[in-house]
Amino acid sequence: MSSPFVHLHVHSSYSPMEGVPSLEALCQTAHAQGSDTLALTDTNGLYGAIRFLDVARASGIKPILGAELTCPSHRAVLLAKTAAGYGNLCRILSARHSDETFDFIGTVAQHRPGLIILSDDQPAITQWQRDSQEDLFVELTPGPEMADALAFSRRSTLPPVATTRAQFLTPSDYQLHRLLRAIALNTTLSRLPDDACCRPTHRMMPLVEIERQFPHVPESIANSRHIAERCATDWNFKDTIFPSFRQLSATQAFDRLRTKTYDGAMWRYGTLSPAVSARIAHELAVIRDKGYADYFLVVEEIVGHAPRTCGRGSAAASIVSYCLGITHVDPIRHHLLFERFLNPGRHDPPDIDIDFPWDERDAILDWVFTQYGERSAAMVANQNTLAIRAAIRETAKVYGLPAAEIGRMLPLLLRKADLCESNSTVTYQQWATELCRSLQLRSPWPEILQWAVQIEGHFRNLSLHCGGVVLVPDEIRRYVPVERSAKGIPVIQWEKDQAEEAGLVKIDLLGNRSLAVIRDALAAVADHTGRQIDYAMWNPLSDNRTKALIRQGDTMGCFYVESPATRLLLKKLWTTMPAIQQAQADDFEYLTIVSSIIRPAAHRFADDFIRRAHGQPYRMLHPALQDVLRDTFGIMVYQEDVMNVAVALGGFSLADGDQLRKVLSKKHKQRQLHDYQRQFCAGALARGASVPVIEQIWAMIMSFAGYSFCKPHSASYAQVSFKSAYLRAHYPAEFIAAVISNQGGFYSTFAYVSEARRMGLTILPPDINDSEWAYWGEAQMVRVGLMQIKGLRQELAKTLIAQRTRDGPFRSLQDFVDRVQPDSAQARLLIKAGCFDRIAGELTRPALLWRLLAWQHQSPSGYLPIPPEYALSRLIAQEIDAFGFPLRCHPLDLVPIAQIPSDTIAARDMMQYIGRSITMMGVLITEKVVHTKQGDPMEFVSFEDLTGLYDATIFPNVYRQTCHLLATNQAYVIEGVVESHFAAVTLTVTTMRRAPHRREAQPAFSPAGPPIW
Amino acid sequence: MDRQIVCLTVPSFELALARLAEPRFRHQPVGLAPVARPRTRLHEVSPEAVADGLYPGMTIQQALQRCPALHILTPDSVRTAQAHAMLSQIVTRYAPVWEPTKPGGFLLDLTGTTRLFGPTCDTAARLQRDISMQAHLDGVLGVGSNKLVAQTAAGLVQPTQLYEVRHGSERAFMAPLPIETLPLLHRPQMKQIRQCLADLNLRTFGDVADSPLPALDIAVGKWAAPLLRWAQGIDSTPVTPPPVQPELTCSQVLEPDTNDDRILWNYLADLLEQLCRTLRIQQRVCRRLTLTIRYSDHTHTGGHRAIDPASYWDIDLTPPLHALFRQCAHRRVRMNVLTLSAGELITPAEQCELFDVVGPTHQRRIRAQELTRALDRLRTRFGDSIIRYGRHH
Repeated sequence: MSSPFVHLHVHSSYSPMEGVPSLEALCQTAHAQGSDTLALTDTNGLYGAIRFLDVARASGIKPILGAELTCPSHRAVLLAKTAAGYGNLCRILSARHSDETFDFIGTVAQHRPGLIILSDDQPAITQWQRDSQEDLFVELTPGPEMADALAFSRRSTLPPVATTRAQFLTPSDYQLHRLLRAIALNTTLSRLPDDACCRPTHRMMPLVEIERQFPHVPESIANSRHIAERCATDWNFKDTIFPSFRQLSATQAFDRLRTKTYDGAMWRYGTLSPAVSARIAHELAVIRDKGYADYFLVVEEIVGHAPRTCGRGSAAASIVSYCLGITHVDPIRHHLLFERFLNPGRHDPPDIDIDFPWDERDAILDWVFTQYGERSAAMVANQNTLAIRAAIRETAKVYGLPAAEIGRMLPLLLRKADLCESNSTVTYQQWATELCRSLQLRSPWPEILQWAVQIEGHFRNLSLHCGGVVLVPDEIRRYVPVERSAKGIPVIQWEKDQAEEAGLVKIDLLGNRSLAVIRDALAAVADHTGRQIDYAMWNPLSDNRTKALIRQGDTMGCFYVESPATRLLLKKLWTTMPAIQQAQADDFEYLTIVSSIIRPAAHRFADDFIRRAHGQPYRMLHPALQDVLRDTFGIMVYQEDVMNVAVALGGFSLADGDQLRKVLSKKHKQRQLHDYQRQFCAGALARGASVPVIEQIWAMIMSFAGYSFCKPHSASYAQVSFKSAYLRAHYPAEFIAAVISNQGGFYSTFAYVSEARRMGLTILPPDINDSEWAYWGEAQMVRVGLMQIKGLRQELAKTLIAQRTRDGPFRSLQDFVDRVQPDSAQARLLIKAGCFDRIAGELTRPALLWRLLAWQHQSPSGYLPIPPEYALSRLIAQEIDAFGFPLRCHPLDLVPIAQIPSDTIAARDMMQYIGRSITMMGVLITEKVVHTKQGDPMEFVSFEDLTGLYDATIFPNVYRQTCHLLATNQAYVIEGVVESHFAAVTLTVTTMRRAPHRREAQPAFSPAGPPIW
Repeated sequence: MDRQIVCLTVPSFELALARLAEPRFRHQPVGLAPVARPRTRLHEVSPEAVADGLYPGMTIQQALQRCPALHILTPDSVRTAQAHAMLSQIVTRYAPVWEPTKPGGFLLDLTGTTRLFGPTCDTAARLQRDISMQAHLDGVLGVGSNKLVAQTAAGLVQPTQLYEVRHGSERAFMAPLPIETLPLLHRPQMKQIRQCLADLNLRTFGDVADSPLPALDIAVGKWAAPLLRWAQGIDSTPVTPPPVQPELTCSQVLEPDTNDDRILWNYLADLLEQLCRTLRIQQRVCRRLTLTIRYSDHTHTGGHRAIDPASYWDIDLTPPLHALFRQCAHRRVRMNVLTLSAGELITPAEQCELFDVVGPTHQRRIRAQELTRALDRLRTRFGDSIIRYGRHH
């Protein structure tokens, strides 16, 4: 028999920095207390509502959805009685967060239908009672206020209902609640105001205790059961909510999609082959059956607002997307499976991700919100939780530990791999005491750890997802509460997983710098050569120079294949590939594989992949995988390999295989994954696979829980990589100028400038008459843009360029200041950056600055002295200050000769020293820390000397001694052994030290006294 | 009469004290910083650290990258104040007028003392020797005709050395020196002037001295004339002795450190009780109450309140102390030293109230004063520990 009492006012850890218990703990406790129903009423939100439905049902609990609505002067618990009530609850919560003039009583009164209200807020209840007494209850909670509430209930004839306003489960959890409040309010436990916390009695009491608290009002307990029985618990969020395209009917939308698809097919293919026609017909049929036509039309319309996009993700497997211009990879030519994107068995909504040039994305988002209005559109949220690092840090702050001590202890604690794995046989206190004893940490660390580990994972706040937009056909506030970001953008209360589980369709609109690079380079090419390249139809896959460049790994600046790891992989793959394999190889297919295998999920198989690509024989783990993994040489490279292997070996259906792939990337997946593992093992055993093979394959599947790509996504990226590489091969000056101008690539500006020099380009300093705002490249030279001058405002640059264009070049500094009337600090930046050197005549830079001061003070400049020009070291220092790096020399030129070992080997000569120990110099360009299987940190580093880039590996034993020395753009003397792997040469570092710059020399003079005059 | 100014400075004073206190640091690279955080800048570095390429002003992070063996020490204000006071006593023996410049640094005006102590250089050398023998510290000495020259000269020599600039050679002495030598230019508010001089490539005092005043005026405005004077070695500011104020201070070291306000307040109440009893014994009242807090990250904060009318009663000083504590204790970091000072001490006024004061507040105050007197009597007779408030620490 179920309990006569139902907890109707319960907070979980989704009540930001208030509620203590996790959803799992809540449901388990309710179940243990004999309750069959539980309401979740987090503060001002439904942040965990969709997860609650899942967890509650798994625990055998009927879930009631609700929220505690609060504002400084009022409060009430709102429970959704019906689906319409749920919509009203979302509207009220949205208004609470989004409307500046939120009227608590009025808003609830307006959206009351379908809601049950519990409150002890007498002014609010009195107002609502005037409208209707139905579904209105007076909330009685153990504590001094209960007498007042009961008297009010009797006076107003409104029925009472018992609640505990549970914020935690057991009395000892009260301390956790106080800790969360102290973190939220940025204070200490002793300064925490009483009214900032709940009462110690606000916990999830069992029935016995409840009955002891309410002996005089037994009907309040019975009312809780009556209310629970009237609330909806059979929630269904399975239906996908598609956006509506211009309010067309389903048939009209599909007709329009079909027309557009066939028009697009003619544009893409010229003539329709039977294969193309069949694929289009098949895809359109699936789209029609699933009702996705509007969705495609909406995305197509968004994409239509930017001429250069990259439709990525699984959508690139669709020929409809290709014909609509959403994606640019031909799925037929590149054998991309439509089923990875859509299949009849797939229940979750499709997900189309679109990249836009980074500086166009905000305009696209603005357009979406203008077109669909805030009524129908909102961004997806990220739910930020307290990770273990933040939990320890914040708890330690509440305990008053100095930041330095926290900073010192955190790495020590986090290195303990078992930090988060306190087993159930010991209490948190015992575990923390034991851990601190082993690390020799004294009080209050045991206490801090004991609490910190218990608040890990608590929901803290929302932030904006990087690009996810949700569009619905009607009112979004019907489906989910909406808040407003700091920038004023509407954002739903759910992160992508819950949004998806609730049927909301997400479109990812993301910024991509390489698309802007390609755009700018194409514009420069058109400007300099008159050659117009149509981005959508441009297909450089068969260009020999481009292919050669990729095969050599000369891909710095090229989208997605410029990292040292990828360049090395490309070199290893192609340099020693036998001629027969080279002749048969499809460069694009290989680049697609490389783009994917470099991701963490499959990276450990990269060497196997190279060997097999070079023709080394291999044996499939199981014959059933022969067809599935033939293209990738028996290695699981793409996400869909998980699906295909599950189908081929585990006997999964296509839909189940797809679901397994999807579950792998989710946060809360353990339960589902366990079921799938059982299913896979049973299926594989039935197909004759041995247990070790099954374990090996399951481990490969599990590695896809890390970052991985699907093949269509890789292909989309590979195509952008190819386009970048084409520009680098044919128009290097325009390309590198665009790379630097758009910033944000893998390397620093200095690294790209050095690369430009290695490409044979001349780098010209900024000039007042020649420089544009951005870098500018043509033929064999690149002119540094004014953007490189730190602190220079873009408005001034625009003004001077406009003035220069209108009235001709500037003739002198005087001419410049007279015509542009700049702010003197800005003009000083230009002088110090050398912009006036060409028109300065006999005046040195100090003399120019003195004359600028005279102009600023409106004084004559005739009597001003002409100081000597700065020393070379100062000129270089000024370049470093102005640009961030020396322009007239290499940083290694600044190393005193005495510091350079006489036997230093140049990067270009490394090949001659394979297997030998050598000394090299280098400026650190990039670094990547990784961990060995034993968990020891090590680092892959790229250095640059005057002759080229080279890669080095610092293994754990050396890394431990040298990691404190490593800093980007710093010069080093490195000793190590030259290693060759698949003909790619790297240096295994044995020792390294910093090579001091002359600039870093100690100041010649230390003042002895304080400033006294 | 020519002025005879001596500048005595113990380089890296706090570091030298730390190394005296802890001999294991004597031959180690050591840096002093107010807080051991990565981005905190080093205030002082030892010669061993200098040899490794470190210098004051570097961040701890940079310094550790260059010298992993570096030990970071934090200042101990009590030790520093005691050592400075000790040096002051030695200096007082030689100089009729002296001015403290910083902890471990003094400017002495020895004008007119030649017949009493002998030549200024000899006096300075004796002073150096006394400091070395009594305080085990090595200072640097600069002798010149004004504060600027003396202090600049002191900055050019190594510990135990002396630099004398003869009268009339001030301009020649200053000319080759970089303008950064001028301590004034290291003030944060002088950053623009420093930058401007560097931009104009005026690197030495000689460069400045050779520039026309109107041209300098355009560049550095009101600082043009003083800069030109200093570049010529002219400085007429007098050596000014420090003001002296009587003060009563008591401190409580918290072991373990804490950020629990209830415990902290109990300690403060104890301190106030102790302070007030001392004031009553000395028959002095205070007009100013100062609270200094040292946090566990070695940073200090403090504040003061005027006490009007002046008082030595706990009941009068408790509310201002409450307010002070609320004002100062705004960080969450634990505290490890509380220091309470009573300042502006005067003799209590003898005059009684002109009119009868009635009311509960007054009654409460009278009762509190009677209780305090009773406690005082008990403690005088049986010792301080005979009775105490039941405060939880």
